[in-house]
Amino acid sequence: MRRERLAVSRRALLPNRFAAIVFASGLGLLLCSLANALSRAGEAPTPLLYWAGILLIAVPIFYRLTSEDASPGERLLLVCLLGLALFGVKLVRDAPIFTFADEFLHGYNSNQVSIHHHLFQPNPILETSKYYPGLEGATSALRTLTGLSAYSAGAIVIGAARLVAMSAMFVLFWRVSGSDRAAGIGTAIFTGNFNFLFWSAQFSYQSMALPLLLLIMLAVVELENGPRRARDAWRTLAALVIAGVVITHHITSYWVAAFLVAMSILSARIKRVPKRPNPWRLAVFAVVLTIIWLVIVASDTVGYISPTITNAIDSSLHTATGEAPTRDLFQGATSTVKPTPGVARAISLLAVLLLAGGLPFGLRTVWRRYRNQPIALIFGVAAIGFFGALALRLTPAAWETGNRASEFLFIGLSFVLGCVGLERWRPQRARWLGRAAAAAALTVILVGGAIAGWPWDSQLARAVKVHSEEGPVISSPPLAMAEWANRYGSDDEKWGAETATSRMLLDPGDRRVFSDFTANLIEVIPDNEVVPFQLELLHEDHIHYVVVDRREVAGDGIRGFFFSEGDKPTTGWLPHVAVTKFEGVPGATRIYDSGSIVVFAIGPAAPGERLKQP
Amino acid sequence: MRGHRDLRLLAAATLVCAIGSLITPLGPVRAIFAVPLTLIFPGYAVTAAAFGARLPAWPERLPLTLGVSLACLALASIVLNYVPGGIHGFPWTIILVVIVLASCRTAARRRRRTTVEFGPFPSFKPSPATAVLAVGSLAAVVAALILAQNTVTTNHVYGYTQLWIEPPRASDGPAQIGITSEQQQTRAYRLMIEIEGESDPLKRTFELEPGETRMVTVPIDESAGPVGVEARLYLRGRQDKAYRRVSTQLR
Repeated sequence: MRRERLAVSRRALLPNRFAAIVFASGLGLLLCSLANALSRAGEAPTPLLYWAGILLIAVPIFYRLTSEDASPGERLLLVCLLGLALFGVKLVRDAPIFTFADEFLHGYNSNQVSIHHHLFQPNPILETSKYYPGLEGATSALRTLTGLSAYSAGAIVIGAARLVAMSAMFVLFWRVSGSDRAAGIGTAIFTGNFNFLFWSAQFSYQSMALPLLLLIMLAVVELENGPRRARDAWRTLAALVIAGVVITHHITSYWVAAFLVAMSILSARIKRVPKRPNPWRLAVFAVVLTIIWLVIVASDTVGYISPTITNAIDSSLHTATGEAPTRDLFQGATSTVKPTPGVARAISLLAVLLLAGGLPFGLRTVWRRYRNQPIALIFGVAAIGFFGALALRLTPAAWETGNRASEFLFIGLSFVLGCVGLERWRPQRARWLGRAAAAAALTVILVGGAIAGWPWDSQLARAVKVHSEEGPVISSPPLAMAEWANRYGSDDEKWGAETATSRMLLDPGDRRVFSDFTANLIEVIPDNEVVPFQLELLHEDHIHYVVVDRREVAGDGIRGFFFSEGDKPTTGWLPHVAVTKFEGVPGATRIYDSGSIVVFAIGPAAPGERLKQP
Repeated sequence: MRGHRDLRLLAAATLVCAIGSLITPLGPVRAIFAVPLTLIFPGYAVTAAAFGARLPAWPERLPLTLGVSLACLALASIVLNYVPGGIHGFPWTIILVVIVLASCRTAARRRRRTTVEFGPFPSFKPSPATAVLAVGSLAAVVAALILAQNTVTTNHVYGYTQLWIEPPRASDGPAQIGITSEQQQTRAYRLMIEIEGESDPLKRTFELEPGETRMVTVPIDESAGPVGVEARLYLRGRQDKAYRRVSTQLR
């Protein structure tokens, strides 16, 4: 009787293992939030605090995923927890307003839908984005029903997409491998892809489209391997989700089409008993729908993507032949940005070595066990392709293409490495060693991927709004300028600015702002003089206001939105003449001055006008 | 839908959430109704309609419910785009209710009298210690989010001051010079406004607290032609060098 009572009280005192892991994740998130708050306050917290938070989130989950006795349901909940907790790390880094370059573009699109009540509103900086309104359309449902801001509604939508990604990937890997343990580990490996922590968590169209791609993959596998009577249902839902992807993100829709075509070809080539259905109808549907959308709705996309790909190919060839130098890894974007510390570089490189080291073992397992499954072969090819994309990171003009492609290819790599089976290694003297080694490897891959995917100095938040020493809130120079433009600017006038100020002029400024290659702005603004053809370009493009941001980070889409820190030198700022050159433009007036940022109103072109010396 | 408890429950919850999201005054509270209405119910209903009586197990239903909901929202927004009036809250509610109810009806018809097997669902009988950990986890997450929302106090960032002209383009109306302090502390300023044709500049001295704005109207003769105006802002105690400068032409 006494023993029974003791057993009962012991059970009451011992928490559920899953609850303990959730608690660790909550504490980890709190540590990350604390590190970010200290960083915003300029207290330069030790990076260990932040990374300890990440480890507290990930390590217990990784270790549990490597165990033999966890049920499939528990593993699914664990990977969902991992995905959501790491998404939380991005949220506690936010201001909380958008601070990632692409978020301003999609935040602006979302605001335009709320203002005009229609999709396809022009986006002056990324025109292509208006032709793929799936994300903004989905967000508009929440915004119109709740009145939430683009940031808040977007965080909910991307959070839901993150859950789709983690759960769909787990079930997909489980169905293909037949092992929930390998599926859990494979899904955990995916969190180590370079973009997972920040880039893919931002309010951007790929963040919603990629999880839908995983759902399509799952549907295709269920179509092949599931019960015959459920095939039509999977086909119908896959078609619905394909349509959703096609209107959400161009690149992902191409990956969907390529995947389905490859699946159809491989399904036809691989002879299996009993015969499995071929997803060719879905492939045709995806290809036709993608082409129709591209030709009829989004034809401008070709002009947007083709130079990027052409430049990537040219640059890769130049680098390969030694005509151009390779891109330096881990280097700061500007002279004031310190390079990544040696330890962090070492972890990042170790992560890549682990990925490469596990590849042959994973490929061997895939070939031995799953070579009669077309999707497993596609995963194998993608895993090898990932290292090709990795090589593109060494090429200046191709690194972004390689970075974007790597996330898609990492899906295959995650599956292949999930099949390695390190966690099953149980030496006589230390039976725990295999699991511990697997959990440690997963941790290195996660941390290394996060370091490689986002600049070291920008892992933690910086301030865009702070309480001044006397109490009232003050805003960073680009944010204050954008808020001023929002109050006093007119809706029909065009602005020209470099990256940082242009993004904030979009949202929260809500101005029609052009940047980069429009009117040659990225060259006109930092130049020391305005030459007549540049002035003509400004007039031709009807740019009414030019924003000159003297700060070294003006063209930096990661660091340019924040306050300058008190101890940062201004030696890299543009010279005064870069500002005063516009005073020589006939009709131009200097209408705003905050020291680092000056705005000029450019008058209309006058016949025979000549530039004056300022 | 008689005999299909999940579908009846889904239809009822959809109607409650639709009405709740329309009549609840506070936005964040409306989110309690709007999130399931947008991100859960459409996906579940469409999945149920597609599979009929052979619903997949819950591990498949989780990504299907959320993913299909997202796809439905993206596609429905295209439909609403061409509906008179466009994308508003009320049409969204209607289209979501229609999607869910129509799908529930299709699912019920396809199921006929078959009882749907939902399979084993993870049981949830928390021990006291588990409950304590659950509360602790929730508290940690809430604390993390509150900390992230909190605007910090710091003297590590550079303060500055904005000077501008309003309206920013030449116009017929009165012009104003605006000064906003984004400084860390209260600062004293001297503003000098030179108006073309006027011998003496307009001078103002004042102090601004952080975040405070001062507007100064530029007195010009409206009957005169275009007039050049230049405003210079000096920090008190540094009269030799203009701290900020703006200029414009007024009509």
